[in-house]
Amino acid sequence: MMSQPISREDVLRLAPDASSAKSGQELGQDRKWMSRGGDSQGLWGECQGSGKLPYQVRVDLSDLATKCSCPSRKFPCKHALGLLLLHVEKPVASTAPPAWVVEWRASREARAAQVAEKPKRATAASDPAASAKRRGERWDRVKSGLADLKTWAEDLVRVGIASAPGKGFEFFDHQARRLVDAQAPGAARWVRELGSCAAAGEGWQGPFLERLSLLHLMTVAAERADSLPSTVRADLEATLGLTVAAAELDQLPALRDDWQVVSHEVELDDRLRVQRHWLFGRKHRRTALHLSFAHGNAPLDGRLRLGESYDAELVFYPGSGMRAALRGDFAPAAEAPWNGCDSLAELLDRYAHGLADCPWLESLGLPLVAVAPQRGSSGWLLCDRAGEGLPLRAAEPSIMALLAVSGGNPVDIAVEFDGRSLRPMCLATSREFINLRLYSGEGVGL
Amino acid sequence: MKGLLTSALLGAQQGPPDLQGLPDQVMALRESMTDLPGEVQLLELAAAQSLYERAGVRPIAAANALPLAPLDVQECCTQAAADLLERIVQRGGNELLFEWLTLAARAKRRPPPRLLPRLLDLGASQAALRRAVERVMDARGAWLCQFNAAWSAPLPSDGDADWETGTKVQRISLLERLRESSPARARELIQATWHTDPADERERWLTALAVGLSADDEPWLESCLDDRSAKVREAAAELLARLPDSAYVRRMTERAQSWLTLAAPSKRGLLGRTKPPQLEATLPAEFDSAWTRDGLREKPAAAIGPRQWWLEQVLSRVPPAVWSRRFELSPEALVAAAPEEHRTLLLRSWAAAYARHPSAEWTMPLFGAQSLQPGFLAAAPAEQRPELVRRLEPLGAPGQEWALLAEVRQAWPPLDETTSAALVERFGAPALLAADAARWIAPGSLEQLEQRLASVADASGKKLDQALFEIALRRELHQEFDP
Repeated sequence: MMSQPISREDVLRLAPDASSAKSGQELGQDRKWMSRGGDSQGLWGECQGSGKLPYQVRVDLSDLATKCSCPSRKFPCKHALGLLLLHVEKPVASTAPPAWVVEWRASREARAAQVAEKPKRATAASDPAASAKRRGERWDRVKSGLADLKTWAEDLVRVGIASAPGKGFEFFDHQARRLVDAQAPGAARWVRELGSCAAAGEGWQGPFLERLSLLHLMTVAAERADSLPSTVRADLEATLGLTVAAAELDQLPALRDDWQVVSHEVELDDRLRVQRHWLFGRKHRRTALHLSFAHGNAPLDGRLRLGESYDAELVFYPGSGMRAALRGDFAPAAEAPWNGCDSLAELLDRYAHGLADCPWLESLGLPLVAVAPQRGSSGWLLCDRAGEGLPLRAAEPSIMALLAVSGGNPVDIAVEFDGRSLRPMCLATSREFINLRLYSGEGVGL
Repeated sequence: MKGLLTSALLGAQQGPPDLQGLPDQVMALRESMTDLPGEVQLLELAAAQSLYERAGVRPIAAANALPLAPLDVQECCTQAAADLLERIVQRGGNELLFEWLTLAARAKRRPPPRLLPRLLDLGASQAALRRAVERVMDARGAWLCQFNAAWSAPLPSDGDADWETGTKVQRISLLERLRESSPARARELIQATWHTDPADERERWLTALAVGLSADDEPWLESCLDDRSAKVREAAAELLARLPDSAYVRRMTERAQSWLTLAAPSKRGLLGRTKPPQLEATLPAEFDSAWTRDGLREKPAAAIGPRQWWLEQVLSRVPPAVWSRRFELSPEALVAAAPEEHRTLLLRSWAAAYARHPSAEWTMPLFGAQSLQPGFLAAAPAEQRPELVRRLEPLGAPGQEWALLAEVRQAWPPLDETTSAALVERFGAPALLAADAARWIAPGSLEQLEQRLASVADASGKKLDQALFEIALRRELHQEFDP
């Protein structure tokens, strides 16, 4: 799956937190390892820990899954990170795996086979009528939750939103929890962010009213859900957080292209880590958002690497949105120059179209070619060759990295646009892809 | 949106929404809403208006063209060196960072631009680090600094204006730097505000003159002995005591003349051997009030008799070389000649005098003969340090060994190669580990230190892992910049 050998940076990105990254680096020394081996499939080693017996560490190189006999609840643990880091620096010659590695691989394969089997059985067993009934029941719960939300929002506007900042976190959190109970986690997230808007200080009013009005729009749309066109309904379901069954995705056509990974970001949502990759297709010039999730310290999907292109099939989720999933196996595509839009007018056009399709569109990620940082009348801009510019998000620390790397010259960069300002995501230089999300002060792994 | 926002803030119950400024396209929607409650109308109009605005965002033009960064002069460091820098920054701690910056400056290489903001951020809170960053940041870094006030805030510079208006810390740092390049200028600055500065500041300015101290400073320092403040007088006296040809040291020498004498050569012993020479010490009878002006104190600071105390103060300001000349005896012979009764007192005084007037031939004789006096190690000339390390009294407890290492580290920065090698040889792995030797030992001794530490019995220690990791980092670092 990996086109290039795994790098230090790749390994450090796997680290669940900074202290694991640090300990992992310290364990990446020969003397900590009583034995070490590897083959084309994976790595293994025995690490001297504080206990009597050494820890047995196994890594699968195809998806960077790890298993260690240590008691740590972090995944990957520092021993696995150390083994990987040592492997980057000093790979060992291929050998036959010991029994404890063979066993692990066999059990993983058995589990994978089980999972592959399950959806087939599930579809075979499921009765379309029963499935429709379940969906109907869920919609009933969602609708009642949204009716509740509608009253809440209208009350807020009736008495005046000036009171909102004084209501505190609990006011919004309570409403969000009710929406989670009503199985509309997407709407719950919007309400939590509404609470953040209220607490944002100066200038909070505009964004607050905007968000509240779009929440209201969700409630109105949900009332009429049955009469909505199917794409709009699908967009509404996605916004509310109704999941799409894997079986349903399997029915949809896929789009094959050379997809370049133009951004990499991990966000923390309570205990859930959300990994966001924006992809851009070379032939069809479509953007796609690939998400993967990991609870607690579980590992994230490590298959996509920033800047790489993959010859892959993507399935876009129902609706007009950009979210897509990878289908089946994929291979790295031939290396090609950075590809993207060279006009900000095109970015605006794409965003406007997206918004026309789905009023709850939040952001659009897009690679840009030859744009330069400039000073606007109230902050930094990114300008294209035609001299047209859009504001960069205010107080964004990565702007300094962007200035440092560009020196004011045009650069190739991926951005995310939210209808107001640009957030720099990744800089492509002649020698590397710089993940600007790691320069924002809270990046994982840096 | 402005009208709608005002209505929303005040509350829909106050009346129908303010529709001022809404475009026709949004207004058109209103016709279908007339029978809806006010708050619903308001929310729906706001949603429509938000979509209308966001779908219609137009690009804006730059206010004025940003000047491009000038081309860098130095070559960028290698990818490996950049990776090391990134690891060092991630790790935190200053020692390795300073080492990277110093090596890069020496090799005339610059860091990759992407790391400049992080380096400048780190430098913003520490002047020394900022100067080290400024030495390697090149044209791109200088250009970048204009965009962040914290990176471009002026450091205390060499101008007079700063002396008049600067804070105490800025003024000290200015003095210390000026003393390196033009010591007289620094002295003139102090004199310019001498009569208006409070006593504790005047004392602090004088202390800063220790750098670049010379006979040129003597007349001014001598006049400071008449200052109103005792602290100022003592600070001036301390500096004068370090000038071997000053009138001050002559006064001390004269005072001590009569107190230290050579005993009359005794008759030959039975076997015809000459007895080794013996010194005789006479304690001063009373405290001369003139001594106060020279910064001496009448009341003992430690638990010793006043007369011993007076002798010690004077003796410790007389260069030891005076005695070798006067009695025509080698330092070894003089140390041996110290009378039993006042031996400790004499050796302690000479060691203190040695710290003020370093002299190579006195190092070894005094070293073994006294408990280590403050400033003694720092006064030892570089070429004698390895020998001193080898002779450092073996101390039992690891805690004490650690304290000794910490003292050595403080006395001799930066540590030279030979002394480093001697230290690694002389000290045990636990002490080397506890004193963080991995960070400050000279690069040539890193391999030796690594072997030393790797032999530690308990190989699972976290501290050991860290030290070995840091050693590996530093070895790579030196490999990268001067292979």
